[in-house]
Amino acid sequence: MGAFLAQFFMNPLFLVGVGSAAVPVVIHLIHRRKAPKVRFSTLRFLRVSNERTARRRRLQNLFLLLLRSLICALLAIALAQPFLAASGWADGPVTAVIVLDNSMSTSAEDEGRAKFGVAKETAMDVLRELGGKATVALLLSNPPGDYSAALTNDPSVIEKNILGSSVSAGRASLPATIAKAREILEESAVPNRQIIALSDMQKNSWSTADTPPDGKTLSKMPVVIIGCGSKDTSNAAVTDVAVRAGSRVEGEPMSIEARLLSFAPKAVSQTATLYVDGQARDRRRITLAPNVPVAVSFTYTFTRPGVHHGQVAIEDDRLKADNVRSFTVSIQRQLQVLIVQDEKSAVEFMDSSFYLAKALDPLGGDAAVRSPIRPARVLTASAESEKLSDYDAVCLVDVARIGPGLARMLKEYVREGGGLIVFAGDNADLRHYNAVLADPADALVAAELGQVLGNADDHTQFHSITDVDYSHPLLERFKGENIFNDVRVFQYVSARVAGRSAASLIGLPDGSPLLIENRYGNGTALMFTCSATTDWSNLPLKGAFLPLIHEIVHYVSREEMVKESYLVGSPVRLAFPEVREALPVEITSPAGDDHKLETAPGGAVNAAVFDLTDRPGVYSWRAAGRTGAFAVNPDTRESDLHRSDEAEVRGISRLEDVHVVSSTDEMRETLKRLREGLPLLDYFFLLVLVIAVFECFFSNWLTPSAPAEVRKNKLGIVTTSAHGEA
Amino acid sequence: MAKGYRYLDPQAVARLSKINLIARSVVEGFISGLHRSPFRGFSVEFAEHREYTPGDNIKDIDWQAYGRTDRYVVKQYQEETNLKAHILLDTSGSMGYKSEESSLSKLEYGSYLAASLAYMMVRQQDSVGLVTFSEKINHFIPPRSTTAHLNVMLKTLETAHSGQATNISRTFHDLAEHIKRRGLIIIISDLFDDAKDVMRGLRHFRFKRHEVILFHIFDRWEIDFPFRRLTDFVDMETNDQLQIDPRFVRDDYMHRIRDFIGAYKRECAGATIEYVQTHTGVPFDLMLHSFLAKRKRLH
Repeated sequence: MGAFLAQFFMNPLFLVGVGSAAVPVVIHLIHRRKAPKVRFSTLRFLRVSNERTARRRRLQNLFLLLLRSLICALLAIALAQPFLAASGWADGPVTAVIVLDNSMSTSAEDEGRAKFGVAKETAMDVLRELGGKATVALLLSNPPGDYSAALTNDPSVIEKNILGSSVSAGRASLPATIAKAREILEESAVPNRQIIALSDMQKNSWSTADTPPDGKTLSKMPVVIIGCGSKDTSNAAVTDVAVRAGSRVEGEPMSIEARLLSFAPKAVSQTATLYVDGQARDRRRITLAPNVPVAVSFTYTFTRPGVHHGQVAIEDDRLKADNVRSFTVSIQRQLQVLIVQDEKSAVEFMDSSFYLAKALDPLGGDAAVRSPIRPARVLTASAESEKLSDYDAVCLVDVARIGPGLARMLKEYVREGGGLIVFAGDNADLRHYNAVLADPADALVAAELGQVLGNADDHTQFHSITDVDYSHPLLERFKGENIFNDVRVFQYVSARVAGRSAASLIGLPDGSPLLIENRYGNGTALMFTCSATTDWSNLPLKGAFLPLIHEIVHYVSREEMVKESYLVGSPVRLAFPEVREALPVEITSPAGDDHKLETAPGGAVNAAVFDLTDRPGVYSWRAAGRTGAFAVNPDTRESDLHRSDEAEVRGISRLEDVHVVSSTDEMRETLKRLREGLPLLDYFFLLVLVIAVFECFFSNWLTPSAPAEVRKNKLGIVTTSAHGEA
Repeated sequence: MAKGYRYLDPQAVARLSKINLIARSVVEGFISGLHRSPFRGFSVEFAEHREYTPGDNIKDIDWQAYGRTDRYVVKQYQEETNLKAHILLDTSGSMGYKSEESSLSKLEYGSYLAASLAYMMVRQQDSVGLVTFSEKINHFIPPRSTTAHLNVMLKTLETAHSGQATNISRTFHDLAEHIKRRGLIIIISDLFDDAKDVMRGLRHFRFKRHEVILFHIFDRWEIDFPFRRLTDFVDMETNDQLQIDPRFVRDDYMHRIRDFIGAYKRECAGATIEYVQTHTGVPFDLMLHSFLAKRKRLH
């Protein structure tokens, strides 16, 4: 019995005092017995008055008696020092997982000191508080790839891990990390399990997107979250860098656009600097209003072919990691375009690709004036022997039928980011096209081709171009120039756009599309429903043709640039579709570390996946005699330093027993409360006080005012005359 | 003046010596006195003229009036007569109540009052009798106007004690039937009985043409009920006990006492009974003097 009571009371002996609840009853009975006897003239009126008020008074007195007994009992219980025992807590050592938030936002500095440094110191305090007998594991929110958290009862190991931990450039997902901590603790059979998380409470670290989708409580174990660092949200970041230029060819001016965002409560001035290959090339002075993205555009012309890297950087602030954003760009001497056709004409200008080749390289062969595009022609029969990945775009010109081998190569090529341009023509077998390229299950062209309409021999009957989507990036530069006004289409293939990723970019008055775009994998396929010759339309003869073809080639070959930027921590896939066997790949990280991996040829595409992208910067790779580079940048969701409060954390994380504290002292108090339970002494005293005050008021309200002193009037006599006069 | 009697206070006697108790209505008596008599013809005080009728004494004819009016009229005289008064003193148990604040019980107060009234009556040549009653009539001393008779009454008052239950109405009915000659009935009581029955008894007196003066005596604590502690109250007539916290019933009790007094006031006014409510805290001589002075003004 004593042991049982000891679970709830510090001094259970005082519970004997609960018997004092009987004191008011005893006093009442004694009081009744000791009531003085008074002889009174008559009870006639008293009896009636008593009967009238007795029932109500009995209830009131009973309630009053109950209140007084309750006060005595509660006082005795309060003196016994009750406490709310921690659920599932038993005698014995603690098993805990210390979760350390080392996401990018924790590198923000408060008065020159990083939040992560404060978190590490607090983690050491926590370790000391847990004691030498505790079994502890350290879990970082952004662990390195080979990191594994394991429970150990050797504090020196945890201490070493804490001191050796460093801030990452990645984003934290604390709900997921706490779920991981729970898994670790669930493997332990000991009863006293708890999770202690140290975080800067940054809002994005507690995103609902990271909580398990099953809707269940994330953890029933006690979770103490210690908020480290200030609530200052001042920070500016480079949130995005994109190379917007139309060409990746040397000598062509390129547009490099950066987006900047400030989370400071007031507007701040910043300087954005463009670095290319390690040297500052341009600079812009800008003012950043709070939470308003600002675009900064630089123009730069690469003069040498090869892989180049660059950054857009702003001045240092509290959070330095997001002040720089890298990019890489592969500059070529010329864009390589492969033209595939069934046969070559003996007469040059009658060749089906004559106008296309001329448009791609108008001064073909003139070494003095080099075109940015270099076309190469190949017959369909030998196209399968070509290494398509060497080309920035492939054009199929009036090809009658596409063999299964070539079709597979083309799909693989476009899926990996290549560009395909298909021209219809007299020889094209439309049914075959529909079967091979427009199969709804795996449509490369995504247009169901119908029949040939119009008459190529009658140039008096024609269609003009009436429907141009100038909002499309491919055509937006032609807006307002009316270059398609004099284009006449005499013959074309009727087509119906199919698929959600397909769209008609140029259309004819009858609604038939002239140019259809389809996104396929990482690449783009474009389909012209007329030929590249002057038989079907006069477009090849018009001024619009050359710039349109150049824009198309630049547009479809641009895709590889997108793949040159990744977020910290995300895996990078390097594909080599032209190689069938396993290929060794060497990667050098921004810190200069070399990593070696090998492609896996067994899958759909021969590719290698590199996932050690925990550092922001430029990574270079070498494989199969080729070189390349990609940029890894921090996740700028970490740049917003706004904090989550306890209610948000509780709601988002679905933690059942969560305690958010902001200091080491609070943490100690909370851990002590978890161990020893919640002391209820103060609450009981408060309850006693409240009841006592209520009893006073109630008792006072019940008791009628004391009779007034007997009034000393002059005679105290009241008379009435026989006629009723007073 | 009688001396050495407990209830005849010399100071009170001195204070009341210059005032008389005069019957407000007509009383029957044989001795000339202060009070109006219904019997005419043998007195010296002229009352009115009346038409002469055969059988009237000729010497009663007012010849001066005949000279003026040429009509035979006879003079009528109103004779002043002595008063026969009965003092009815309630000696029931409740009249023995004396609060801590009071120096006299209600019975003692009533006895003083009765003694003073008796003395006044005898002094003014009126006959006075004394009746003490509780459940029944304990003593009945018929009215007389002699000093010796006053002594008898005073002795009777000294021996009177409270202690029995009350049956006021029956006593009143008995006395109303018993007292033949109409006169003055002075009642001194706390009237702790059924008010309707008591009023029937009082109306019986009035029906017999008696003038009734009712002294309703209380103790101050019976009106103010100043008790504060839980108390076992013991009924002085029945010895019943009732434990009550007076604080909770005080308002209701006082309300009922006020209603009780108010009912007597109303009923007495309606029955032309002079009602005097007082308590033992008021010096009885002062109260009596004040009452008699007021009565004299109204007379």
